[in-house]
Amino acid sequence: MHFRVSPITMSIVSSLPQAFTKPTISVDKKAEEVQSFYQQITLYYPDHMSEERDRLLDNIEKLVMTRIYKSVFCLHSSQDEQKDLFLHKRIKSLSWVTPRMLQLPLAEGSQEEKNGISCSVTALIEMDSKRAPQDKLSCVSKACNYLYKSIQSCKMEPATADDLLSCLIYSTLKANPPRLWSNLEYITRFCNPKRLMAGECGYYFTNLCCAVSFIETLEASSLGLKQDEFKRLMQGSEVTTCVSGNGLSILQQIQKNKELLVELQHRQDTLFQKAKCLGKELEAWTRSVQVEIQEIVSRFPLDAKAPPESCV
Amino acid sequence: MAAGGGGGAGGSSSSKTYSFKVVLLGEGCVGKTSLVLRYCENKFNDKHITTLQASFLTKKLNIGGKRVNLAIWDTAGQERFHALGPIYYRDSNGAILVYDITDEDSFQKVKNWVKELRKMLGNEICLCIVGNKVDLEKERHVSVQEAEAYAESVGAKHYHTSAKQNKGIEELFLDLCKRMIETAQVDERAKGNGPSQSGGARRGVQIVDDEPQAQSAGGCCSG
Repeated sequence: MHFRVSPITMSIVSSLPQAFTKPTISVDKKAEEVQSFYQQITLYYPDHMSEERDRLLDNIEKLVMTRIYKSVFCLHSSQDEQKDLFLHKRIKSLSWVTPRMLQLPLAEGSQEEKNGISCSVTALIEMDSKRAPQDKLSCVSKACNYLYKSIQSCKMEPATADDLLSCLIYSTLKANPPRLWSNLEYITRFCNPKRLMAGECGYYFTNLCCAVSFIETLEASSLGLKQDEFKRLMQGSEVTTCVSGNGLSILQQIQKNKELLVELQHRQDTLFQKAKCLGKELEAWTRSVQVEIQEIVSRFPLDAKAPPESCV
Repeated sequence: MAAGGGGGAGGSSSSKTYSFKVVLLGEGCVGKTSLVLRYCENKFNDKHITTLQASFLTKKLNIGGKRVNLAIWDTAGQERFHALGPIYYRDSNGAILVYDITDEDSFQKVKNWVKELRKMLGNEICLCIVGNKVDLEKERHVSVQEAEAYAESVGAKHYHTSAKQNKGIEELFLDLCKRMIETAQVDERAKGNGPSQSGGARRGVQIVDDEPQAQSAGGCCSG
């Protein structure tokens, strides 16, 4: 079976790219074609060979999508680019959101929190550099697994969906992954649907979609804030994007150091003046000593030649 | 409403494998996590729990010669995440809605979810309403009659479980699987000639969900 199928699929695969890279065809149409192509391949395989079929599909998906990537990902003509920019701005304007507002199940300031979040941030950013949908998906899975580990070690019990989602929202905010919207759309369009529907990767991807949807629509109540407080933070974020969390303490430190330097300068100035005074005083003193000696010498000339012994 | 997503696998051979997606809904403290952990790992409040997570679990079953791969998706149940529900439900074959029999509010929440699920997935989805913590029967605040009558009125089945005492859980999942197989078979027959078309033709998760499934079935079902 396997050998009979391979040449056919290979010939289809090799003829695919020309058809899929045509700029006249819309991305959605291309996605439809690719999906029905996946579908055709599954038809060749009976049910008991499902494992081989899935493996083959994975490889074909990787091959095809790597080849046609540039002609279907984040095109200028599509709305995706606009949406990417919008999402990027939105996440940037929410840089003040703290772990506490999102009720993360991680101990605040703990090593687990920092490690888990920063590793998952890296994985989310990495997604944009991959080409095949399955490789992008495994970045999302990696991000979630880092989060699971830190949740488990903080809570000492298995992570739930609420735990995962709140952490993933926070990581997404911190990562602000490049071309996030385009990546999600691309995966939805071109990934093998079986993966997205029931597989573990599909679960993590769904959570990322939830995180993005939450970020897009979040308001004061979603973060447990009052309306005016939320407004103030949103307005403030434009001016002081970097002044949140760690940024604040750094700025305070700089201010403090500046004050210390000014004081030091002042003290050095006085020291310098006093030193000058001291110098002058010393000069005056040596001069006065010389004058005094001169005076004494002139007053008592050295006539020690003949001490008159007789007069004692 | 298009195919029950996972109606699963094709082929007309006698050994079929069904893949089902089941979403798990319930407020934070109703014990839904304990329920699935009990079912998939047979653990309850284990001090030595090594399971990393209880949000995505799988289980393989064999029911009368039919193989079933069950994927159980926990959903974020906190109020602030309420609007995200539909993103999780998409393409699911079954839903387990858990409430705590000592907590009237948790039962009200279940009612809200039922409405939402029916609106989105119609009658394709098999609903199970589960009253958990029957070991606390003395503190019951949701009457059996009321719960069962409600379940019947919305075309759902009602179950009583105790994750602590491991009661009713096997039955719940077994029953759900049988119902999902039936639904998938009806679905296949309705489609007639194309048994292996089920599932695969549909696109997976859609991010924008204004019109659930309306356009996603698209032209792929050329068969």
